[in-house]
Amino acid sequence: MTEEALKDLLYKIADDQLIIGHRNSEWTGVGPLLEEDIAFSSMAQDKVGHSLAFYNLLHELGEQDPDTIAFTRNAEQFHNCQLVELPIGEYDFSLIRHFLFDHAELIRFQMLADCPVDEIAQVAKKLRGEVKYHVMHANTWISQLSNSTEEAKERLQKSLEEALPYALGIFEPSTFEKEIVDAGIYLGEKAIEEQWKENIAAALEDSALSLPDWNLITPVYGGRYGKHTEHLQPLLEEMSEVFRVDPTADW
Amino acid sequence: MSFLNSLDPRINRLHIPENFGNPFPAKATKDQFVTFEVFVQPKESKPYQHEGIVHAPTTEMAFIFAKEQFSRRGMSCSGIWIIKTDEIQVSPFTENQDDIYDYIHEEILEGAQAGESEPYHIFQLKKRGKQHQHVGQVTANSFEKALLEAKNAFAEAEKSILNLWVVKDADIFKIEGEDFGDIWDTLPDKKYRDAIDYRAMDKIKRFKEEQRLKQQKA
Repeated sequence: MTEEALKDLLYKIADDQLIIGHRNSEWTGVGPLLEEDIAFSSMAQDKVGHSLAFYNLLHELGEQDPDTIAFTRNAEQFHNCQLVELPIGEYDFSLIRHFLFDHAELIRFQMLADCPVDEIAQVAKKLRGEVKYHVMHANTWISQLSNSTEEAKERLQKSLEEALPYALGIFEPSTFEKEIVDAGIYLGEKAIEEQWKENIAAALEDSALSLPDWNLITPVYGGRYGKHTEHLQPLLEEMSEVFRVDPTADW
Repeated sequence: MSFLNSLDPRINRLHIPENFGNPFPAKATKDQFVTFEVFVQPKESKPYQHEGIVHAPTTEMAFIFAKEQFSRRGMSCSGIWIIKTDEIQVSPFTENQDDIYDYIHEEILEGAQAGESEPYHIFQLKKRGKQHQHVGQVTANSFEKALLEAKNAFAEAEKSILNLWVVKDADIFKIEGEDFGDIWDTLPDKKYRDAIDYRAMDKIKRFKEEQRLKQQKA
């Protein structure tokens, strides 16, 4: 396996986490309940922390330091899936995205905990407990809210249907897919996708929501290869605004 | 119902019925969740301790909120118990360092609603301003019997306890043990950065000094 293949994997994981962390932090101060505002903000911070852990792994492989990687690239240099860059919308959409993304993330972390590259396995083992809570949070909210009122159910169902094509984009295969899987780094995107479909179906059993027929959904691909929606570049500009004032500043 | 319409907005805000004899509208009930008490165990060897309250629609939601409100960075946590506020029975408070256990006698069993024998948990308050701490569990068929059993099990001659909380084991929602312990794995590593850590004054002083030297040179 080439180092390029490994870097590609780490970049897409870290970029997903940084972008969804930034997006979810947009709810800070305007969350639906005080307690939820704190919980959702705290999880957003966790996500940014996870991206830092993976950018550090990349730095050890010879890439630039985490701040430079995070704050100086343009949209087409990001490997995140398009799901995470979409605007936060209303809370129903943000919750659904969090639910769909974190279920995939938990499977990914569980697989990477067995990764033969020890540095990666250590990071995955250390952080997967946090992702486990993120999934508990998502499952509890989706079940509670979807069973509360007709409006809540309808809006969550609509958001679910909007988000699913993008969610399938999480599993867009990379150029190095075969190489990475053959090297036993993890079981690959297809395997995560299959497990993910089972897990979200099981989690939704408690909810009032239903999954559409998978065959009728066309995945939105492109994010892993730098093709993004018009929403990513403005996010990056906002995120790096302070950094760019003085890139050499010592924080 | 139509209300008195006035050029003075303060009158309009009072919603005074236009015609006398109409009843005033009923006060709307508040759209508020019930409260749950949150107990945190900092380490497996330490007792559960009351940390605060969350508002939530269900016990599960209460845990989801409690986890981020009461187990955060810079601490350790091995479990959380959630108890609906009205499931806790509270003893009277004592004063002047009296021990609450001294007030618990067989007579409290008179009028007790005896039910099935089951485990109850006892939480003690040792000092005003501190939190209730879990001291152990007893088996009883009523809250009163549980208090009496608690006296036998936990009263100490040397120490006075100011207040007791009694809860049925069945009413405690427990997130702890092997299945959940890892959700708190990273807590001790998480750092909180105080404003002072940024050493802003040092930086400002250095900047001013640089400016002063520049001016001197000029």
